[in-house]
Amino acid sequence: MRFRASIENVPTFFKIMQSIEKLQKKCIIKFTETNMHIICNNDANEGGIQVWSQIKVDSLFVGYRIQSNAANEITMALSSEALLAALKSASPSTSSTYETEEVVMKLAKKNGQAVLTLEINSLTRVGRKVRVSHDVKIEVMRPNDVARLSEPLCPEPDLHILLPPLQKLRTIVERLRPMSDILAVRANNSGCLQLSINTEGVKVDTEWKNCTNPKTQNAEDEDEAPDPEKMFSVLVSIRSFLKFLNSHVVSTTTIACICQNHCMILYVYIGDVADAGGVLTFYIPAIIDDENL
Amino acid sequence: MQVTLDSFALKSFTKSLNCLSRYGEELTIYATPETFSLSATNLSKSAYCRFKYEKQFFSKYVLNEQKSTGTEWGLDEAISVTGQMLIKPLLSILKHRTVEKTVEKCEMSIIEGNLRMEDGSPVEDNLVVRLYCKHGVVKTHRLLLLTPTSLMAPGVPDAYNESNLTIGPKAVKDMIEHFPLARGVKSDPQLIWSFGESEVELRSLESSIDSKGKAQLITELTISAEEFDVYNVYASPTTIAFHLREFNATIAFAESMSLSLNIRFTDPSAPLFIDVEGDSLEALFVISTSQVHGAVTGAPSQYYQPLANKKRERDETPVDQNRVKKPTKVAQRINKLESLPQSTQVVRPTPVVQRTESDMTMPPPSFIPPAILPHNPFQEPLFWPSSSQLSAANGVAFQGTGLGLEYMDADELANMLEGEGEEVAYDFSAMVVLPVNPHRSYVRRANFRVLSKSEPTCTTT
Repeated sequence: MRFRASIENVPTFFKIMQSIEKLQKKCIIKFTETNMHIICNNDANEGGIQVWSQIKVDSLFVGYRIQSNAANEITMALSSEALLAALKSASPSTSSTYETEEVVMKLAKKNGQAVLTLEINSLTRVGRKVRVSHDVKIEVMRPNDVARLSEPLCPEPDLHILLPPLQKLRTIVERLRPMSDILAVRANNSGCLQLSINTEGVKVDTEWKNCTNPKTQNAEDEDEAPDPEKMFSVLVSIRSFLKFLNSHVVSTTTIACICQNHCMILYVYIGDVADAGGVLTFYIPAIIDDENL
Repeated sequence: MQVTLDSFALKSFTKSLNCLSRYGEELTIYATPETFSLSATNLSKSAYCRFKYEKQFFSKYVLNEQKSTGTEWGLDEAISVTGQMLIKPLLSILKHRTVEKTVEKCEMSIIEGNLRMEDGSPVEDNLVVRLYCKHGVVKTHRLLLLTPTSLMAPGVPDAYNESNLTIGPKAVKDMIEHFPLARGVKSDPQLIWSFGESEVELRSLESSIDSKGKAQLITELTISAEEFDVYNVYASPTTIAFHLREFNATIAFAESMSLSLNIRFTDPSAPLFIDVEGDSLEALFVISTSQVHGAVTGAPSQYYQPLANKKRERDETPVDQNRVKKPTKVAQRINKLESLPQSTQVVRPTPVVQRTESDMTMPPPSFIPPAILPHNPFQEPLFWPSSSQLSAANGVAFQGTGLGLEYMDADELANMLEGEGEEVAYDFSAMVVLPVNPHRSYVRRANFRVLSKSEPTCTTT
């Protein structure tokens, strides 16, 4: 099993991990020949939010080499906080005043413990060399366990809509959070998005208009044109939704899909949608409100 | 005693207090006709810091002459004033936002309670802080001043095998920034420093207190020794380890004052000394070091003693080569003032040790009571490499238990915990105080791992 790559785009990797770290203490990273997948599928996390992401190797790494008996794939579980801390020290955008020259990430074994090593070569203020190395403890997952990892199954979404900038959504959802545990997300096919809460004491509706409804690939299949004004809605845990909104640091474009009474799927694109370097897919299960059934 | 600070001096003074507050909770004031010292020691006495201001620093500096009783000692600098108080209240007065902006001068005076109560106990002294602000506003704060119950003095390093380094605060901060610190107040990470011929290597060390997330990451940094402005290592490589909490406080102070750090150390079991010198200011920081097992040391350790009969080695990590012992104390409790006659608020500021080969002068400790000067400091080092003391974070954790654990040393604690006759590995971080019952505090001990063959137990008291 061999793995070595130099991280070319440290800030993006750092931002991705920032949004992952808020979600779950441990995450799974699967390296394939072409992609890096970061997976958070822990049922234990509150609200049941999951992340399945897929990031093109070229958008983050150069000199990427991978080799293993499991079809040249390596899957590992590691502490997202530890990896984030390591990336932070490599990231030129943060407080570090060293000028980073090269960041090499590789698989190694130290004292019998498998580690993901980040070797950072940088220069001090006066141009002297500094070497920093971070060993993030990992557990390499067995192929059997990897095979058992499966993305949640969802029906064909009822609706696709482009979300406004996540930063803006976040300010609003953070205000709603103290008032309710459940958030209703409603949208229709004519660019209208609503975030609402409704409790005994308070009812708040927030509406965005003129959002874009992207064309889905199988649009021509839909013979009967659905009523564009029809609202589709889903109830989700407001905490889970806030966790998803933490990805605002890395997002450019976000498409939300509503599967009524089932779940909400959110595609957070990293980089431009056209040549997306990757996408983080968030699954937030719906809360089924018994009273409405 | 009365001192006056202008607004510029007050800023520097507040920075010192801020640094002191990160060392300890209690501030000890010691004033002589020439100097004004502030010192603090942390809870486990593994770190000590002292700021010594010269008279010139203050716009006015008056000491009560009639208090002089030191003439009987035949000393010139016999007149002195001492006091002890909590740092936080004083700091919150001086660090207040409006104070920082509007204060024009600050006057501090110690009003001594010379009177005695009926039972003979003296009336407490007061520290009066008077702030003269813009628009004629005068704020007066009265703070209770206690007589120091114990006098702390740092040990003095031996000269012959001393290494000394000079580095700017920014450069050292840049290094430390790469070591992620665990969140939370209890975490007190340690770094292992190896000073080699031409390179300095820093490694992170996971101490028992760290939150579990951080044990997932081990960091190493190698940097050229040229990064240090002065780099004289007596025997390279020398490896020392010490806690970062107080060190960071020192760096922050040095950075805020734009002063460089002069670091001195001898061998891995002796404490680290940091001098920061500014205009009319001398600051001394002493931080105890821990010995790193399996580390290559250039010079034979003069204090090192094999600890064969030590009862509670942390046996649960036999693989770990870098096991580090508990830090030693840097400051020693010297004497109770009560045991001295009334006149002994006057202390003799004589250096404890005549330094032999060094031309650097070690500033005298702020308190050396005359009665118990060590007869031969070379035979009785103040610092033992044994781990009979506990780290600051442990101390804090123990205090919360209400069991008086903070007054025990490691052996006593071991005895207490081994009441059931089994040898167990004990994880300090797992001690949780549950404030369920207001009248009692519960200590929940978790994570007992039984090293002997009997089956694991988990006790809750």
